[in-house]
Amino acid sequence: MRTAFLITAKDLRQRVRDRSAFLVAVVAPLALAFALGATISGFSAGSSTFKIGVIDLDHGPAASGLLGAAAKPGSSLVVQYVATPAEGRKLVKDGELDGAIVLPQGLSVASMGGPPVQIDVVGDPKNPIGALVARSIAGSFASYMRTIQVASRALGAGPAETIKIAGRVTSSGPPISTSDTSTTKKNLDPKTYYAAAMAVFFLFFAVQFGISSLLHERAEGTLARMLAAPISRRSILAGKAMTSLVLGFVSMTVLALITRYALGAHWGNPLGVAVLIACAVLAATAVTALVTTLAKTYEQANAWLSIVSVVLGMLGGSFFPVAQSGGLLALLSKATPHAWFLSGLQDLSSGGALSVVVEPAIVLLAITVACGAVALVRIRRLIEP
Amino acid sequence: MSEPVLRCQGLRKRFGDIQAVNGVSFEIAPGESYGLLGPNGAGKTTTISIVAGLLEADAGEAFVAGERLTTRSVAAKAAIGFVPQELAIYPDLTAHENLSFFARLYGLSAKQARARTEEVLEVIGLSERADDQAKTYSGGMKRRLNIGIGLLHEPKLLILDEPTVGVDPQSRNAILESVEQLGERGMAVLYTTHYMEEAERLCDRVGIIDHGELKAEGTREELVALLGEHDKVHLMGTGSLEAAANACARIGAVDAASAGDGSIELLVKGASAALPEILTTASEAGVSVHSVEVEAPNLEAVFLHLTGRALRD
Repeated sequence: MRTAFLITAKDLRQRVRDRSAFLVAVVAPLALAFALGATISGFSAGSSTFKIGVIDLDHGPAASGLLGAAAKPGSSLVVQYVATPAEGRKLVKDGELDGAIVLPQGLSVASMGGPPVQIDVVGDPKNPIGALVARSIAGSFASYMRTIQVASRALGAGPAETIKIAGRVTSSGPPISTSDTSTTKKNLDPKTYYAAAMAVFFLFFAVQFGISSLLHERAEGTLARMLAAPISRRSILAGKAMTSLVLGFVSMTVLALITRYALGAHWGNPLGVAVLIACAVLAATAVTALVTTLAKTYEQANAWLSIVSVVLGMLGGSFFPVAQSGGLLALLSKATPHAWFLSGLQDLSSGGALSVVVEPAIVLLAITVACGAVALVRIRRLIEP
Repeated sequence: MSEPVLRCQGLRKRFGDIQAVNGVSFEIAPGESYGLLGPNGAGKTTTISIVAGLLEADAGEAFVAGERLTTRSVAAKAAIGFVPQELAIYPDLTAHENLSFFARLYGLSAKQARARTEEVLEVIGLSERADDQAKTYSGGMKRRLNIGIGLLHEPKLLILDEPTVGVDPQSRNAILESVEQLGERGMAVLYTTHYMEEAERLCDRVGIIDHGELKAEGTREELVALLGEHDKVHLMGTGSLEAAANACARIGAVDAASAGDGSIELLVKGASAALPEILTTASEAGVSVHSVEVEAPNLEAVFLHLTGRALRD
């Protein structure tokens, strides 16, 4: 082990001196996590409250239904009265409103059995989500009006009674409510998601500096020099593997700490996070070792490792939550260490007990054993002069 | 001869269809400098790789300081200092860090490593640049560091694989002087080269190797004696040199002939008497001879005599 430690210490000294390791292991993931997290969370924060304009050309009782819905506590809607459709369009275009709904003249009459009218929605192509929300509100409002109309006809109510029915429909809550306890609550907030996703994505690049450097040392002749020394080949391998593990642990830990305290990411129970990081680092090292044993040169290994890292990262959800797309992609995603790491972290971050990391940890260790075993069989060819 | 530091017996190594080393046997005594002389591809580096414990021989065996050598033999390897042909140093580490790392790898304690690193830095003349990264060194300085690493643990046998390849004349001379000093300090040296003058200058004994076989070995005088009364004749000229060399080889007094680099090299018995016939033959073969040199026999002539081709081929 003494020899392995010597080799690891030498490798780490080289990596510290070679700033590219620092860039790959810390700076790049941190920058991307910050950029992606800020972009997505900025979008989420902006869209959590939608400002919708209402142009009431009807001036009748029907519009109160729409306003009543918007005024409910906890609603994510802010309704702003606008005098004319032209002003509404201008405010939407200027970004002051996310969308606008034009309630036409005769709307109240139509709700009481009068001639049908059309509700117009104003949206901006640059803000498709806002337009979608406005359209959705208009659709819901049309359904609401239809409900009142049906109730009014069923009861044979006149105009005055119809207004009362509308008031009762508005004030009473919906008979059925929905809540999402599976996906929404498990989802990490954007900052945490991209901090973790970028950390595990760049982990696969950081660990390359260990095992794959065997090929570099072979090309440079320093491996021959080590092989001529009175040390075992196993200790050379152990030293290189330890370099990968140390770089992986340091990279992940530093990123977890920085994103926790500087970006406000919520990684969850520290012990659970430590277990997941440990298992992810082992899996990344084993996958890297396997790919390295398939290459003939250092350059080839680097190219293949980059491709494998990017593909696994994409499939594993480092950039998009691929697992939620379903189908083959979701199935493939389950074969990546990234997906299991992020899944474990999602469970942990949503307040799950420490036991929630058991399944992802076991899968990550299984990937380690499977890839590591094949790599061990093949790695003998790497430690030849 | 006292108990040899290195004893090789019938070493063989094959790579696919190529028999790289074919039954090579030789011994090196303590303090002796032994040169393996042969052209590129002769089998020198493969032999060296087996003797350094990098490659496993297909057959035969080697003993270093009485210990059987394999790729896994720790004791035998501890007695060897290995200086590969390429610059096997870490360019982003300083000379100090390079030396310290390999010193520890060879089992020296931290204290011993510090002391030996300072000593070796002094020997290779890099003390003043010890804390600069090796990538900032000149080619000659890198070569000296490359050699210095092999000296750290004061090995009984130092193996140098063509250490002067690609080195400027000044650095080359410095390296040769260093190797001479090592021999004087009692370290056995195994030196491979395809430069005849290096083998003649440095080595107590020389083994001539070609096509993986050790053709002959001995001191310079013993090897030259193999030539008998032969002289080495250089014909410098232009024209069909290859054809002329073949024609000259058929002359009775000519033992071997080889063409290349604007000249023909001949190994001739009684050069003064045979020279007129040689010049006539060369002229008839289409060569315009500009000058003729007759040299006393040397190792290059021995190689020509033994293999039928020049060292440069």
